[in-house]
Amino acid sequence: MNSAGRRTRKDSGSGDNSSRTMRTRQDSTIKDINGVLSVRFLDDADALEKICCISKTAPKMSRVGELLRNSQHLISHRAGTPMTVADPDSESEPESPPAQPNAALTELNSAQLEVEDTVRGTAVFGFQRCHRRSHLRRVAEEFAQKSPVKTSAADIKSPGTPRRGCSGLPASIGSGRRGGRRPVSRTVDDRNRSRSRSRSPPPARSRSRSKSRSRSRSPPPPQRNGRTPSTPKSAAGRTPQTPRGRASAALPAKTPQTVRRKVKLRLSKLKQEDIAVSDDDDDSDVSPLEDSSEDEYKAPMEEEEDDDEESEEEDDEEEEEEEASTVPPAAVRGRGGAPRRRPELEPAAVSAEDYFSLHSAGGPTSNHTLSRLSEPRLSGAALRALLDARPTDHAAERAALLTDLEIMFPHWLAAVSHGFNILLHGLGSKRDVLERLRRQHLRERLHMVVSGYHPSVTPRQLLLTLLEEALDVPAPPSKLEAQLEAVERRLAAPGAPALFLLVHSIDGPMMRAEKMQYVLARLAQLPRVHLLASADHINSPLVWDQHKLAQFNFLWFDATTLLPYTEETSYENSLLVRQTADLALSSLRHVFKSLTPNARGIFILLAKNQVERASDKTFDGMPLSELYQRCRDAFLVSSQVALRAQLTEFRDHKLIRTRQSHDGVEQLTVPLEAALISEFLASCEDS
Amino acid sequence: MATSSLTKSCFVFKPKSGGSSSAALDSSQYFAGLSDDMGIQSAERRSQTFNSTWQTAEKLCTDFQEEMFNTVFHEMIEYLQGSVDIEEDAGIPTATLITGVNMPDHTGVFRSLAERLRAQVTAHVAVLEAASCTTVQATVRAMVRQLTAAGEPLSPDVPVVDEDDEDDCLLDVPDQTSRQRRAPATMPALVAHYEAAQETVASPKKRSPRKRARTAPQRRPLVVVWRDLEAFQPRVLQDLVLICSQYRSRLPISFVFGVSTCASAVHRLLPQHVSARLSLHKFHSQLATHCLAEMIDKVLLSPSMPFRLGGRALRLLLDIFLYHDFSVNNFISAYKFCMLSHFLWSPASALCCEPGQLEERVEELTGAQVAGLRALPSVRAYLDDLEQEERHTLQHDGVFKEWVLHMAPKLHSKHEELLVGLRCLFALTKRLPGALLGKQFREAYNLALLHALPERDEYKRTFQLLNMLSRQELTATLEHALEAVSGSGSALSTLLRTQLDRVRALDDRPTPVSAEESSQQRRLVADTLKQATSRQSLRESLQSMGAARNARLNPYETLRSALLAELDEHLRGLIVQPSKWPFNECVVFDDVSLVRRRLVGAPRSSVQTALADPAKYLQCTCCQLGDAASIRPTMPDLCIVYKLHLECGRLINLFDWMQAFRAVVGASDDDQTIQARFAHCVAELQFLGFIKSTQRKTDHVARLTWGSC
Repeated sequence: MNSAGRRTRKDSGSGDNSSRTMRTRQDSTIKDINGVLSVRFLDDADALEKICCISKTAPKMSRVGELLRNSQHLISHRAGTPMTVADPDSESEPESPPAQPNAALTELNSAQLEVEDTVRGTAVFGFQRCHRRSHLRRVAEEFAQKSPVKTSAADIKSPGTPRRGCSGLPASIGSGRRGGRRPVSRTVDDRNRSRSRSRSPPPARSRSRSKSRSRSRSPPPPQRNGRTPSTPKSAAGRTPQTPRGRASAALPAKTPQTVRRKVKLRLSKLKQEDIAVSDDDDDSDVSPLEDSSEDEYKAPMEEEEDDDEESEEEDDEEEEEEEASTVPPAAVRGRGGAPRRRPELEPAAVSAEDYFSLHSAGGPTSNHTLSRLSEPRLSGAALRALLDARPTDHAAERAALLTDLEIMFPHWLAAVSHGFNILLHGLGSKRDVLERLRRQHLRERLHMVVSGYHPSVTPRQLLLTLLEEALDVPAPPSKLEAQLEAVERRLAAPGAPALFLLVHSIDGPMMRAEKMQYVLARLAQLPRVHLLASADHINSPLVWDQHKLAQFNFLWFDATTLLPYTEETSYENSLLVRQTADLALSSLRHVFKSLTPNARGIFILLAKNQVERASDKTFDGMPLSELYQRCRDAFLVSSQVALRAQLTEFRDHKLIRTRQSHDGVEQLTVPLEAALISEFLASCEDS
Repeated sequence: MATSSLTKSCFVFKPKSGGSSSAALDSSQYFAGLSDDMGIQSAERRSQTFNSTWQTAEKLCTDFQEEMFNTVFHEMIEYLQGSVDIEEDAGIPTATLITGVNMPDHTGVFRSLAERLRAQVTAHVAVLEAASCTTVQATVRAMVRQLTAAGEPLSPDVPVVDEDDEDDCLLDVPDQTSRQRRAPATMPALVAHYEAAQETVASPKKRSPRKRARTAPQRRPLVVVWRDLEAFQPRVLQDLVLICSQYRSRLPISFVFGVSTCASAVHRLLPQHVSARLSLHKFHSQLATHCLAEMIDKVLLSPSMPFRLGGRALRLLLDIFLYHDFSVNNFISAYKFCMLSHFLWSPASALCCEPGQLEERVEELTGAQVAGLRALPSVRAYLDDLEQEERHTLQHDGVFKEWVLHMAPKLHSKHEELLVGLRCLFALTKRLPGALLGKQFREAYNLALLHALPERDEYKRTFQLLNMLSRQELTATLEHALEAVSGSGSALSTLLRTQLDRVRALDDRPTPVSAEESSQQRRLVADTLKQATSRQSLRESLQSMGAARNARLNPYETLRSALLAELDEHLRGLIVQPSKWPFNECVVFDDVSLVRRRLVGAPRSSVQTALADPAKYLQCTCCQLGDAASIRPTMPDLCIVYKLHLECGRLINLFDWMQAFRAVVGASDDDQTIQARFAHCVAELQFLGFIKSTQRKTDHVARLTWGSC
């Protein structure tokens, strides 16, 4: 209780003030409230006067509600109707009837249980699911029973600063809360063991729910200074959040780990600032977002690193206050002339401990497989069709990111013309960026585009294309080194053109070879070659050593576009996309056409046999002797030698596969799926 | 023409009109393209100025490097010149050049070395690189090719295309009739070639080139330079050494080993029976830090450079150098980028030029530009300090221009003053304990750029320490300081000289203590001794007496504090932080965050930031996160999938992952679409390198990263 006392002392001074300023801020933008909302609901609901303000965002709420399951539509509408009436200025007056939101809440809980059922399969993602499910059901029932009590409880809870202002209260509330939290409270060891899971949704969710339950039990405290926000409003404010809580599947259970991590982060930051250039505080370039995060880390610094849950809560609260106060104003978003500010990046806060926890824990995964789906692996075409049919989210924002990059084009070209090379990094396909650059500025220049993500790109191909097509060398030398020298000599000659080399994914699968990078570095070094490249892989810098980096002389640009990597991933063997056999089928057709009629007959015989016995699990190929017998019957071959000759040809073209069975009999199969074979046979019969 | 194809990965686009492609890139249009309305007027001017300024800097750099190489290679070249005379038994004369770990600079070092060798020692020089010498055969070929090619006079009239062909033919069909003189690249061929070359040189004495007639012996050595010895395969290296030592009687081969770590690397690579065939001599190239110090002194601080780096930018560049690569070339490249950014982004940089051109530039200023200059922070701060009246007159453009013309040249003189003052101060502190201003001048300079040095503790402490120096020490220190500033011919050097004279002229004898005084003192002591009743009171009285005597300074001490006060005052006048100068934005570039983002790439953190908090990039209201780990259904799919995967251990069950994704995004889409969205995101994560497929369990993927951010 020590820390509780401390908090009370601390808060009693500042609480009212800060909450008032908070409210005015919240009034200012709806966005702010949204920010508050998400945190507020899930973490702690004790400063209810904040929640009151939310009531005025009712239209917003209903918009959010649309995103939820059908079962929740009703609720959000119902919650929405009373709230639209609410006047944000008169928060202290109760306004809407309490029953509706409470009913909505109950319904929501049962709806959530349904959701739980659908998600039941998840082992990792649905942490402690059985336990939680029964718990949730209990909670829902309690809600249903106690809804009138609940209102009074919330009434109690809400006045001014219940936790802050009143020193007599904490004992009851504190114990209530603690009791409520018991189902999810874990020992430190437990937390350590499942650190990776500690961010999973269930603890946070059940915590908040149990908290409110416990609150409903706590005795009514004395009313404070008349600023009692109305119960209905607080409940209404909270109602739409509940689905949100369910939807945002991972809100961290605020363990001391998070506190510790932040402290660590802060320390490492401080240290880094000491080492590297630190005093760019007055940089105009630092985005407000960065500032907010800075502030955020200062808060936990003052906290002592103790496992007491109270201090966490305090921590949460402070954090979220700052969060609400430092949400960047909408005006920051520059669409027009000036490029918008790219966020100043923080160093990734990864501690070495995480590595060991990841590798030691290795929590068991469930045995579910994709075969539970109706169609485990979609075909590439189907996938694309489905994705194309769907409107992209954040289309305007993504387009704005792209236009911002366009503004930088002259900068890149200026840098490039003075001997630097450009490397674009950041999330999202940067193909469009380079394509736009090419279309807008390089029309009148000699340039070459290399698709690094292409599986067949090789240094030789690159140099040959460069020599033959770009530099018009009729007979380029065959050796790589000689080719490089030829290019160098060509471009060193007076009057040689400047060559722009645009490389998509300079770290693509085929580009990672030492030879490729050697060639590119040699080329990039030439004064007349201007390289503009993009890098996607997170470990891409590992491709280059000091020497190559110096040769490349890169300037790094953050070109985050958040566009889908459609083109780039289309060559990759995706895990969830069925490998289409179109290629195999068409090659089969081509080879088949060149066969003699007898050979065709043999193959069709073999294929038909395989289709017929497709359902037979024990079938693993047609024995050679049987095939010979059948071929003889059909007058396709006259001797086994002739048959073998044909089979050799098939094998060379990979039309068949032979396997020795355990008793030494050669068995022949066509290495294609039965469906494909029958499709092929059908097309044969047509022609 | 599209750039996506199933089979093709390289696409060439040629300009439709052939003429413009060969035109050099004109960067001034890009300067204009980036500028706003105000900057566009000076865009061309700025582009020109950048070009000329960079040329100046480049020339300074190359001059400096030439000079440096001269000193470094001097001894080695002498050794190689004499190497022919070393008798055969002694083994192959080998110069081990310790180059240091600054790999990116080595290209320049070895290029310059080869040039020098060709000019001063022999025409037969081969530079071998590890990348192209993976087998003995390739190495011998590369070596012989270079050695023989260099001996022949290259006919300059051979067209380029022919050379291509020639190269090709030689590599593939070596014995074509027309090119028989280029025999296959083997050691016997090299011997034959060398002997032939020697004959032709020996017979017509008149044709002997350059100073060979005087210094070089009869036979010219063949020098083989091994760049970056550690990178070669030991096997290849050993074989080559053995082969060459076989031919030592016929070919005066000598080696140059470029070693970047330490000399013992040679012995690690070569076993005893091989290294016995070598006679090793060690040479050191200059330390990279030393080069940098010289470079900064000669280039960055050169009075002929109008452009200056600000404190923070300089510190970043130094940090990159010291903690990252030790490469002087990279430092120069970064410096160039700073310069480019300065001229590219700052409209005020139009005035960054030689003082001589300033008048013309100021004349050119338009109204908007003048307004821009007036809005510079330093100018505004200066104007605010002025009287109301004066400020008012400066509102007039004509007057303002004159004022600019008056103030701008001072930027350069002020920098000179700063340098002089700083050099003096640095010389003063150099001998003091604790290296208050750092061990290198660049540190002191950086400090002076970053802070108002006279207000710093370091400065105060320096003078405190100086005030404790003995006479000899002070004389020595002042001499050093005088030496440091003597070249400048400033007032400071005269001041130092007079001070030095005064110290020297000070009477050496100890000041005679007057008899009266001494007797008085003696009496006082006696009194005290008598009066002392206890040991403690005696001690106290003695202490107070001692303090009284100490307070009286001797003449040297008086002079010393007077001198130092004078010096202090003078230095305070000189050492002014550049950011306090009005118009410093014209010549000083200090946008450190820009430079850092461009030069120190952080691709991983940009990707992870975008994934963990897309709102930072999208700047949308719907995805604002209260906590870094929370998920919003409105976020882009990839971010949701990424965040879900953070919750997992090493293995991730695809099916469960998809269910979690479905739970987050809600039921807005049908199952197939959600599956498609998920599949695409998984493919993207795989492409980005966060996951990979695994065989350990069906329908699982392995996570490749750890931690959660």
